[in-house]
Amino acid sequence: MKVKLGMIAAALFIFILLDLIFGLTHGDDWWAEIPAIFALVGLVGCMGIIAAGKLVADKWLKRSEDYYDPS
Amino acid sequence: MTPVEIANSLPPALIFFAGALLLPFLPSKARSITFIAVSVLSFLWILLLEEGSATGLSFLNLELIPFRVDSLSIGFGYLFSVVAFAGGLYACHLKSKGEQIAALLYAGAALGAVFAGDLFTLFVFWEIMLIGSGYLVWARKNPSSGRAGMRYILVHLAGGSFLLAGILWHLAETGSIEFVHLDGAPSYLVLIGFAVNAAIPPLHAWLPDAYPESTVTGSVFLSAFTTKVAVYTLARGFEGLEVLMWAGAIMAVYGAVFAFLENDIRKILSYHIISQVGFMVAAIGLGGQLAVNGAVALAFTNILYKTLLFMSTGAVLYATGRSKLSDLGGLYKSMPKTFWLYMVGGVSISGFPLFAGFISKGMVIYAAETGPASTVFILLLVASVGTFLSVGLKLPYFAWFGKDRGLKVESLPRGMYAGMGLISLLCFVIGVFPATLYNILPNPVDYQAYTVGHLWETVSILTFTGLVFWIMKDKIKPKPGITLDFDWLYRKPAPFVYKIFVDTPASIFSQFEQASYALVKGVVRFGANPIGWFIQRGRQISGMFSKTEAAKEPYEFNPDRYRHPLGFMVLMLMLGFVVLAIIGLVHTL
Repeated sequence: MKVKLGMIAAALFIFILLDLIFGLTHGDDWWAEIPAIFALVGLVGCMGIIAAGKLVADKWLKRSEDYYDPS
Repeated sequence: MTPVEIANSLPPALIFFAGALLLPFLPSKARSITFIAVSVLSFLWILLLEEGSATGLSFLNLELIPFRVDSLSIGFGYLFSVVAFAGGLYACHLKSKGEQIAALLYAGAALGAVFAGDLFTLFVFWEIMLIGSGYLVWARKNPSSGRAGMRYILVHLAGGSFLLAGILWHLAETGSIEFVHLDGAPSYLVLIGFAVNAAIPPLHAWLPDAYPESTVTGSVFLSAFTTKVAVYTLARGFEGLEVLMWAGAIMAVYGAVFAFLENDIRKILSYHIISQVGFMVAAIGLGGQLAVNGAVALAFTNILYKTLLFMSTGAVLYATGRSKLSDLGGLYKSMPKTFWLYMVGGVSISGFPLFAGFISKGMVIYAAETGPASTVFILLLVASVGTFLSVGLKLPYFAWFGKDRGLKVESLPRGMYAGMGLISLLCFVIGVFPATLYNILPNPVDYQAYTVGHLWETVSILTFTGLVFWIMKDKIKPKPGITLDFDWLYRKPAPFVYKIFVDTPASIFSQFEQASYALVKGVVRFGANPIGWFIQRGRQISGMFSKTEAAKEPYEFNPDRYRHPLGFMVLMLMLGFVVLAIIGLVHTL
C-alpha cells in the first residue's frame, strides 16, 4: 500500500512540476492558480465518490436483492 | 410535386409508422431487413429536408404545425435514424414481432417529436413514444419486468398529464400552441412533464428501474430516445433557465455516484444516462450558442456510445445470462472482441482524446468553465471522474477480468457485432474529425476541442482517477444487493396504499353486494308466495315452543298446497267491481 501511495505522490509531483514549468492550466478563476488542479480534482473526486459509496451508501442505502419483491 | 417537395411537407416519422403497420404481414426473415431499410430511408428523407420547411394543419380551431424543420430538429433527426439503423442491425437475430413493431413505433414517435412545430403534435408523439417504450420494458415477459413496466407507464402518464395540463393552460393564456421558447406560470407544468422524461432527480427513478428490466435489444432502443427527446424539448423551450443549470450539474454527479454503487451492469449504465443527460441539462441551463451546441453535440455522441455500451453489456447478458457484476468475472478469455468494443464506448463516455466524448463533453465543460458559476464547472468535472471510475474502470475490470468464474458463454449473432462495430467506428471517426459533427450543430461552432489546456485537463483527471482505482480496486469489489433511490417513495408504500385504496373499498363493496343479494333473494322468495312465507315463519316460531319432534322437523314447503284456485281471483275481481259500483253510486247521489 505504501508503495502505491508513494506512486500517487510521485505522479502528483510530476504533474505539479509539468504544470509549473509549462503553465498548462488556463483559466481566469482563482482555482486556475493552483498547480495541477485537475489532477487534484481527479484524486479528490475519485476518493470522494468511493468514500461516499463506502461510508454513506453502504450503510444507509444498501438492501438485499429481494427487498422490493412482493411477499 | 417533386420528391424533395413531398419530403419537405410530410414528417419522416411516417415511414417508421408505415413500417410498423407493414411488419405484422411480413415473414420473420424479411422483418429485420425491413426494419433496417426503414431507418435507411428515413436518413435519406432527412437528407432532403431544408431548414424552414413547415406544414400547417387546422384541427379543432387550432392551427397546428405537425411538421417543422430547423437546425435543432434536423440534427436530432439524423441522430435518431442512425441509432435506429444500428439498433436494427444489432437486433437482426430478433424473432419477436411485437418488439420490432414497438421499436419502430418508438423511433418514429421520437423522430415525430423533434419535427413537431406545435405543442399538441409534440404531446401526441410523446404519448406514442410511451406506448412503444412501455412495450419494450414489458417485452422480457417476466414478473419483474411486468411490474417495472407498469411503474414506468404510471410515472410517464403522470408526467404526460403535467405536460398536457401545461399545454392547455399555455393555450388559454397566450392563444398560441406553437412550440417556441416558453415562459410564465403554465410553462412550469410543461417543464415538469419534460423533466420526467429527462430523468431529472427526483423524477428520475423510473429510468434505472425500467431500463435494466427490458430485453437485451429493448434496452438499446430505450437508452437512445426518451431522454434525448426530452433534452431536445428542453433546449427548444427552456434555454437559459438558471434552475436547469444547477439541476443538470447536480444530476450529473448524482448519476455518477449512484452508478458507482450499483451491481447490475445495465443499472450502472442507466445511472450514467442520468449523469450524461445532467451535462446536457446543465448546458441548456447555461444557455448561449456554445452551450446549446455542446448539449446537442453531447446528446449526439452520447446516444452513440451509450447505445454501444448497452449493446456490449447486453451481449454479455445474452452470452452468459448474467448481469450482476458480482456474478461475472474473467470473461476476457471468452469474449475479447466484446471487451474491446465495450472499451470504445467506455473511453468515449469518459472523454478520452480521439474518441467522441472528448469533442462533445469538452464543449459543455468549456461552456461551464466560461459560465457564471465555477461550482457547476467543478461538479461537471467530478461527474467526469465518476463516469471514468465506474464505466471506464470498475465495470470492465470486474466483468472481463477480476475473479474468473468459469462462465459458459454462448456465441453472439453476427448482427450484434455489426451493430457494435458500426457505432465504434462512428465514435472514433467523430473523435478524430470533430467537424463531421460540428457541421450539423444548430449554431455556428467557434470551439477547438484539441487544445493543450483541454488535453491537460483530461489527461490529469483520467490519470488520477485511474491511479485511485488501481489502489482501491480490492476494496470496491462488487457485492450483491440493490441501492435505494427515490423510487422507494412509491414502491415501498405501494402495498399499503394498495390496501387502503383498492383492497379496502373492494372488500366494503363486496360486503354491500352480498347484503344486497341476500335482500333481493329474500324479497323474491317472499313475493313468490307471501302466504307460504308466513306459514313457514309461523311454523318456525311454533317449533321454538313446541316440544314434539314433528314440530322441530324442517318444513318442506310445497307451493301448490297454498296456490289459490282461479275462482278466488274472479271473486276478488267481482268484489272490486262491486266496491267501484257503490263508490260510483254514492258519488252520483
